[in-house]
Amino acid sequence: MLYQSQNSLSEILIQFDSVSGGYEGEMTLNNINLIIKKGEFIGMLGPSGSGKTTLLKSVLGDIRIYSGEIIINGKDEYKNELNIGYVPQLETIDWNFPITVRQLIEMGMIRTSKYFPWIKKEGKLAVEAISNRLGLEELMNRQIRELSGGQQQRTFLGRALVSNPDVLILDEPTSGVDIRTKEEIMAILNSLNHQGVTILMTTHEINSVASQLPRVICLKNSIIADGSPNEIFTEENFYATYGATVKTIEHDGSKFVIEML
Amino acid sequence: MLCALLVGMLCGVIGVYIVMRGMSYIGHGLSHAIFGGAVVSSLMSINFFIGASVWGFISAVLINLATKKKTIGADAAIGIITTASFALGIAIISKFKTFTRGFDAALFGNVLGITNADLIAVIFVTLFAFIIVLVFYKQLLFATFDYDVAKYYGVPVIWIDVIFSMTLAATIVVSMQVLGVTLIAAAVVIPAVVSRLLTNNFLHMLIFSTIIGGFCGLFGIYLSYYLDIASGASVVLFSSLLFIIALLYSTYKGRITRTINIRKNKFHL
Ligand SMILES: Nc1ncnc2c1ncn2[C@@H]1O[C@H](COP(=O)(O)OP(=O)(O)OP(=O)(O)O)[C@@H](O)[C@H]1O
Ligand SMILES: [Mg+2]
Repeated sequence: MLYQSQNSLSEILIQFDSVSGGYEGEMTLNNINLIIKKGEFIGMLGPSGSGKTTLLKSVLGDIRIYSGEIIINGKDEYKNELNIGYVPQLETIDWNFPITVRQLIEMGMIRTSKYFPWIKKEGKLAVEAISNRLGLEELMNRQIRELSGGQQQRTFLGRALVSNPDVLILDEPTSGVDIRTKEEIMAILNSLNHQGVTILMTTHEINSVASQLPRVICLKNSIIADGSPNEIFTEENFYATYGATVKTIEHDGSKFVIEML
Repeated sequence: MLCALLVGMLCGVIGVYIVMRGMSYIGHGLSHAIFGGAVVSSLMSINFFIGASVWGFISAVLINLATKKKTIGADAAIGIITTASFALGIAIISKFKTFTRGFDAALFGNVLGITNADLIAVIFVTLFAFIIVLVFYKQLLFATFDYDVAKYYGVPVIWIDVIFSMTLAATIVVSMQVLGVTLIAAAVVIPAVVSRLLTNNFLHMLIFSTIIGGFCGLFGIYLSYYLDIASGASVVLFSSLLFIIALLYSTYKGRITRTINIRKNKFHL
């Protein structure tokens, strides 16, 4: 595994206690038990419609919980005081909206800079710092449609990062980008994780993303498997998650999955 | 004249949020619903502004809720309720003939019928709307762009919706006399669409739309004096003309930038 979490993982940040929930009577999440500690870097796999986005949103208090409870930093999820940065699945974005990269990143400051259109000097510096770090400085006045997939991902990452969040929740941050950009995004996330940011992300990429993470969860409405890729990348788990037959191989100490058609 | 300018600016600025939320039909529904409210309140001898605003605010909140539910039939329900409210207004007018304002004026706008009280109401609502848009600029922008994610970033979206619905209802109530029930929706939507064609920057869009709305209001009213036509109609016709010009301009500009891009690419090759 390429990306390693920090060693001292002790403080519990997010805890799901037998949580079932979903949308309007539908049981999208079924009996979820999950503990996320401060400083973890977790990837979530699962087929389309398996509830990955729903699970992320339940951390943000936006999903109706039928039973069980979600405890965030010792409080229930509706009273959460953690600063959480959220990067939505890019398919949900209205690309026609007339908004520039700068305006989008500035949105991320809304917790600290609430009223009037302008932002404070520290805010401007923060926006500048984050856009330099993400390599967006040349693109600040572009409308969001006029960007490549990787640039779009980085812009939304910028919005999530500009307020220095404790937790970063990302919905498929590597979808629609090439191999190199994927590597760049993962390297950014890894270095954030090393600065102490707890990361929970979803992905469809088993070999290039999930297999490199310290902890992976396989979700299909309920949790099928949870652990390091070396522990949970098994043919049975992938069959149970995706209903597909795969073969696993080992290379360089990491486990990978080959699709069998 | 001042009244027309302010009403135009007001509709322009509110229109940006309406258009970007994809709720263009709300202005239409709301103005019809408010017409009913206005007539009922005049029948019950309640103050026109208060009666119509309360009715309008309730309708705006209901329409907003129906849109969020996304269940099939929500739009049909909106259509039925607002049209029923409109029909109720017309029924009452034709039965009792008590509506103090001219029937034509209410439907198509008549700037000559404006009283001092109307003007004061317009000034008050314009000030209110601009203060709201200025103070809650960030919240409104975030909630308009991405309602759910705004929630996750701590924007009190429900309150923002309530405040916006209030502003919208008040806007339509005070614009009714100038623009008329049937034409308000166009006056709200067109300046925003025109400015959307001219810019990709939200703040610029807001500013352009205000200016264009004000200009259309002013010039439209001037035309209505000059040509002796209903003020709402002339404002809408004039802004439609601007829309066509903007459309042609943006297609043309699009073509130019595309050519430049092609040239650049060739240069790189
Ligand atoms: N807003 C909603 N209202 C009602 N049902 C929803 C809503 N969003 C998602 N669902 C349903 O909940 C289930 C889980 O959806 P979810 O978006 O969590 O899947 P996902 O694992 O993120 O899929 P993908 O990989 O395609 O993003 C699906 O059956 C979906 O139809
Ligand atoms: Mg999803």
